[in-house]
Amino acid sequence: MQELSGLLTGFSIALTTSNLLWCIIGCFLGTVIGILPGIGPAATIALLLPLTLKLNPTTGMIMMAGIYYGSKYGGSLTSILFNVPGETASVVTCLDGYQMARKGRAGAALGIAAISSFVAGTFGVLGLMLLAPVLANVALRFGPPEYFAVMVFGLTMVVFLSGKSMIKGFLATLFGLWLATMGIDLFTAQSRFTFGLTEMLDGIDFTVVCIGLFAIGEILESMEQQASTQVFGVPKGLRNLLPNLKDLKDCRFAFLNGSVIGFLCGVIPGGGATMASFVSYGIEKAFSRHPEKFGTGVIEGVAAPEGANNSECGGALVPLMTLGIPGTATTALLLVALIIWGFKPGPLLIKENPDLFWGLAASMYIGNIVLLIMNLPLVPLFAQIMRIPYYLLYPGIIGLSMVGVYSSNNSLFDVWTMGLFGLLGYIMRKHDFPAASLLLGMVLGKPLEHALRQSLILSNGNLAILITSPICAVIIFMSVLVLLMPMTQAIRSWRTKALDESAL
Amino acid sequence: MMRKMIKGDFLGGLILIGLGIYIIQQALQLDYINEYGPGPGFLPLWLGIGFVVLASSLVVRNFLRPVSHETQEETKKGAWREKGRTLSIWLALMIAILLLDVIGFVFSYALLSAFIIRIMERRSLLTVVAATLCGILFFYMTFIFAFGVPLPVGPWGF
Repeated sequence: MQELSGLLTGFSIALTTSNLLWCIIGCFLGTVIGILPGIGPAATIALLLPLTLKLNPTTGMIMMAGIYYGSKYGGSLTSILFNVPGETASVVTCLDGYQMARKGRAGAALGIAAISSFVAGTFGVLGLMLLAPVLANVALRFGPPEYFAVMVFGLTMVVFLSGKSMIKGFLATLFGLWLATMGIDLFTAQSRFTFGLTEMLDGIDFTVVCIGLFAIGEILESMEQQASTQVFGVPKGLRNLLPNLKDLKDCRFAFLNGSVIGFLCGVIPGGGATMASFVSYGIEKAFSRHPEKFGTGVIEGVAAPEGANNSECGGALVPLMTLGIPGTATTALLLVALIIWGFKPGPLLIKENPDLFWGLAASMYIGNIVLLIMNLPLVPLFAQIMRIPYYLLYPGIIGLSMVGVYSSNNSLFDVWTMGLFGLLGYIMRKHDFPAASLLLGMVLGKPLEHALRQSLILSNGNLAILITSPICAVIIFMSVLVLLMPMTQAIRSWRTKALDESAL
Repeated sequence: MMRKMIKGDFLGGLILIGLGIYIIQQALQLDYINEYGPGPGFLPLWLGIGFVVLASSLVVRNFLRPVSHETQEETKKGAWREKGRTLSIWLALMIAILLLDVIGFVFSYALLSAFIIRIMERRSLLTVVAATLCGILFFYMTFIFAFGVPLPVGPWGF
């Protein structure tokens, strides 16, 4: 009942002219950046953050969330039409989506992607609406040791799911944590790692690092080779965008699968949309009556991952709005925006700022409808964006990065720092160091250190406080388990290999 | 079996060990424990130790992991040309940032845009001029006129 009244209040906020307008702008921008490879939602939000801060916080969050889930819609378009995923979360959509397009069913593929995104996206918002207040109530009992344990678990999951090498994920996280220690220590007012620079006394600005790593780093990687002048032809079959009844019937399980898996992957820190889309595709294939047809243009192969990567958005907002813990680079930026606006992300956020939470949740329902309406008839128009040569876009994005970074503090030092982090981002990409782990380490570094030091002050330096409460003990145990899991796998594979070799 | 290492990871590991040692050295100059509990050097010290341990394992792992000849060939082929291109663009960006204070944003951006489109992408002069002018117009109209964001200006006032 409380949720229903909250949602009604939310709709009254989200449906005001300015909020609706910014929601549409966010969804449109999200779709465009989802289409364009070379810039993702994290970089876009970081670039727009200084401008968004001039808006009302609820309006700003509505717009940034629109960019976040709108990019998922855009990513599917290029995957299906051109076999070019605009987002990593849409990679798996290429498998069946592009095959459908080649068979003249591009319209049906795009239609089912939009419908599935809408269904699962709505499920994700529903999950956020129902789960967030419950989790926030539980989190009210948390003290510094519990927060420390939750943050350690979050970072552990991010490392665990970070990519090819856990060691590299760990190192990237440590680097982020180290960046967070730079500047004046709030407990003792001593300066740390400032290299004698006064500009460093406040530490390094998070948005500067984010724009450097994600926007500049990605562009440097994309520009390794001269941009091709390939013009993508829009395939036939776009006129009939509505899937037939058989398609919808075939996708019943895919809608449910995508919705549930996407939401769960979103809630898990480090899970993210890419994992959600791959897992849901795998499940869809495993439970299909015709798994051998996957990859040849099966409509469920489009519906499941597209649904999952949209439902993930709602799930990812749960730990952010209730614990103040982001699980992805994009939600880390949303957290930074909330902090800059003066909110205290944590269990009291929903209670103290119901307008923000319910306004955002309601706007996501509206945003999903906007995207459905926008995406179906405007597909041919959005497809034309792919015709813009990259060599015209990249200087613009670099210029936008420079302006975005400079405008937040009017500081040239920040622009220099962005350039350096751009190179670091490129090197990290080339050597498989996950940039998202660095970013999450950086954003969680300060609260993690505060929680640890507050806990140890409470216990007179006794580390046992971190495992004595049952909640802490369980969470820390889970973190250790997550860290040990790959080790046991490695031991098992080494043992199997050794046994095989000895048998020879 | 022939054991070789991936040069990038090996070098990266060594650099990170160096960084870890630097963090430890700096952390040791800060209080580890003070009258209130853990001091400002507490977390950095453990971070530094973590860096050294993990980066060492990265280096050691690269000694132990066999790498096929094909992988080595793949890493050599064209890699330097690509890295050179990227490095050139990055250097151009850093020069543009350096010039922000001297000639202002508009001209710095124009030079950077012209460098990327003309020299790196080898497009026609007309494309360069059109794209650069469009870019400048966009930034000027959006940030200076619409949002009133002050951008670095040159001696000529823009």
